[in-house]
Amino acid sequence: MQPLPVKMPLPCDFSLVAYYPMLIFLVIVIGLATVIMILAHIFNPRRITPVKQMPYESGMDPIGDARGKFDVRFYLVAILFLVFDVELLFLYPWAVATQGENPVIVGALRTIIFWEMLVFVGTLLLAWAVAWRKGVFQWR
Amino acid sequence: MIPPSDYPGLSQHLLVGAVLFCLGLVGFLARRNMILAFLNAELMVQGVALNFVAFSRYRGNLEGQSFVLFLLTVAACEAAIAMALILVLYKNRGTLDVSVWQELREDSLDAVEDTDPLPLPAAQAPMPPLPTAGLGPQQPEELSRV
Amino acid sequence: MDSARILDSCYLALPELGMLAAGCLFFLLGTMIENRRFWAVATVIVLGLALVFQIAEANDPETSGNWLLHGAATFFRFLGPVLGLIGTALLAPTGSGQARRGPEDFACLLVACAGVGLTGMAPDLVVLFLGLELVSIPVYLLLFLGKHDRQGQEAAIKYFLLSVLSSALFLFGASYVYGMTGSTRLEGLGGIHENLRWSETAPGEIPAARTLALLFLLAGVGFKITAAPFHFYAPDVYQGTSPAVAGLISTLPKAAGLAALLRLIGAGESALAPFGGVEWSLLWILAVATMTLGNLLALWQNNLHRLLAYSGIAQGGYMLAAVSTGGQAGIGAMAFYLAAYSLMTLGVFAVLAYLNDPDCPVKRVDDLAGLFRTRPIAALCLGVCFVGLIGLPLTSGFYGKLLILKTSIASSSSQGNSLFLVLAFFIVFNAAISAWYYLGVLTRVFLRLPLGPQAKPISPLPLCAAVACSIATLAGGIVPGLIEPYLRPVEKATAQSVAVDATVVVTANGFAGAIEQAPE
Repeated sequence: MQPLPVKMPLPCDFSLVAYYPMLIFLVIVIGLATVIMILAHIFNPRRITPVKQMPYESGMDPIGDARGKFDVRFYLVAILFLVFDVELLFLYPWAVATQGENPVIVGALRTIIFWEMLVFVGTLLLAWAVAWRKGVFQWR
Repeated sequence: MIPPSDYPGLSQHLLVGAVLFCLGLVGFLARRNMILAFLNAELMVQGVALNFVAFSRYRGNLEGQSFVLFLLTVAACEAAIAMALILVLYKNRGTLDVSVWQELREDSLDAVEDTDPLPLPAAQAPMPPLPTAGLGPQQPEELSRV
Repeated sequence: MDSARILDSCYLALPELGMLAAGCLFFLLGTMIENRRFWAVATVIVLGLALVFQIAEANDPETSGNWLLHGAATFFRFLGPVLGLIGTALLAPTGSGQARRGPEDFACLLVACAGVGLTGMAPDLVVLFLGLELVSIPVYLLLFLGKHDRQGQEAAIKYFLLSVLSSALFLFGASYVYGMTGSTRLEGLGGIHENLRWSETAPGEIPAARTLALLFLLAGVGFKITAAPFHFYAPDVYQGTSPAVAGLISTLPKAAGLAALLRLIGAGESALAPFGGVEWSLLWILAVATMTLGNLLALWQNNLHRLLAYSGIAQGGYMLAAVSTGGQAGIGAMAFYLAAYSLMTLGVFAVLAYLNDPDCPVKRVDDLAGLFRTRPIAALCLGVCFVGLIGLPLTSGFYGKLLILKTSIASSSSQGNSLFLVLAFFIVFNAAISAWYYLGVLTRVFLRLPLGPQAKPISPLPLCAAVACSIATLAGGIVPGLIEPYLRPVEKATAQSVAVDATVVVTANGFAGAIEQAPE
């Protein structure tokens, strides 16, 4: 296998103009969020209940010791998150190698590797289905 | 074979990797808390990952970096198993100290007496229940005021 | 790297990939179908298909080449499913205590068997590492699922923490190998010396980094093989778990570790010696230390599982001895002995799994007293397997030891190195020591009267596995020609040296048998 050229961009190569799609993206995101919030504020019905008025902190008691103990049920979520989070690591090199400026993966290889990635994502999906069937997502 | 590129920082990176590895090894051997022992083993793996990345830069190919991807994934799988296993063990004995687990040993050996057990966590007063908005939490009233 | 090569690789690894996929599916579908009998049958079908495919592939000269199918690789790919089939029979009984449901342990077994095959044919350090982990991770789960009491949990955490440590050690060595060769390909290992530019060493001098990497790699695989300084966890772990899982732990990781060792030192690839020859001396020391320590410590054991753990350590020493002779013949002898050892040990554990009754546990050697009177078939299987582990004639253990002795004596004359004669002496000496404790068990089984209430077996399946293992052990000893030609290197041994070595082994064992009988 030929070695891939490892080239680090020099600082002077940087140009903010190259990132104009990001600016457009940012404008659209902020605009959409603002519009939705305004619409919700105009149209939603307001029924105030004590539970709704409670300060909210991700399902935990908002007042307490910062080093307090977590509910053991969070462990299951943490385990699942840990695995799925890291598995996504494999998608990045693939994305760079197929979609980058000068893609390394070309031709028939591209199709095969695409299906390989689908198989990989399918494996993740299978793991998720196992967790679902095992009742991991139920808050018992 | 690929000629090594000009990469003067290699020995420094290797040194850091080796230091991380050794710190992890010492920690693994010295720690009695199961979670910390496992984290130290992970520290060793991270030292190795640094080695791989440094060598990958030095050799000018990406094989080392792709090894690191697999290494991190396997480390995550092991962390997930560690979490599950340690949780079950903690439920059983109520402590994370590995030294309480010494049922399996040679017949002729006695159980090691723990002269310096890990301190048990102090019992904490229960926190006040969640109030509705606008109201302060119900604190127990103090008996005397100065 | 092109598309055809990727597809070829996938096709070549099809049995392993199939076993992995089946394992994943078992986890999912096991949440819907909980009938364990169904899952046992499904496991047997998957493993059987994998075996059939591998037989077809091994006979096809077209496909060999890409994934290094030659020699030991094909052997390990066969060994995985065969051990898996026996393991299925051991795991299948649910146990009368808490009735286990679902196929999780079968799925783990499938993944571990695939891991052994992948390690055996790994063309790359990454695949090698993943193969080793594919054996380790299911074994953690098996240990955890096997027994839910405190002892089982202690065994699981001990094995887990030390296994994580061992893979970290292995990886540290692997990172330096990559640094020295500039490639993770295993064929690139031969170029370690030429590529050692970053450490400025004089030509001909052994660079410290190379030896360092070798030490770390050996430590990593030594944990899996339970070689001497890294063996200490084995007795505790075996003691804490159920007989079925102990049988699997004594075989699958050991096979994977030996496969990884062969891959790393390039054995079987015409004397590659990537680490400059240091590896043979280190393996020699490891082998002698492992077999001697294992056998000596086994003499003091009362607990059956601990005894078998030390026996497994010692037997691993014989295999390391075969590898340390450094030739194709040594690899063949190691492969034969590994297969023989795995079947004999699984046979013993199968009998223990058969007798595994929570009301009347068989833990100590004395609990087996009078087994021949109460359960003659189980006792006979135990007898055959233990006789094989001693290395008495008419068993595969005898023939395997003979092969190892033959190669060590042959390499001492061919390499002019008398250390290999010392190695042969150590093997014979250790076989003599081991006869003491093995015969100690056998006397209790055959000559004593039953002591207390006897275990009531739950299922006859483990007994079937034990009978199969015993038949295989006898077949390997009486007609070794069935397997041995497949493991034979290019050179052929002369009939005369076989005869001489046979006398040595028989005399040593007869002598040991006499000593054993004296104090009784």
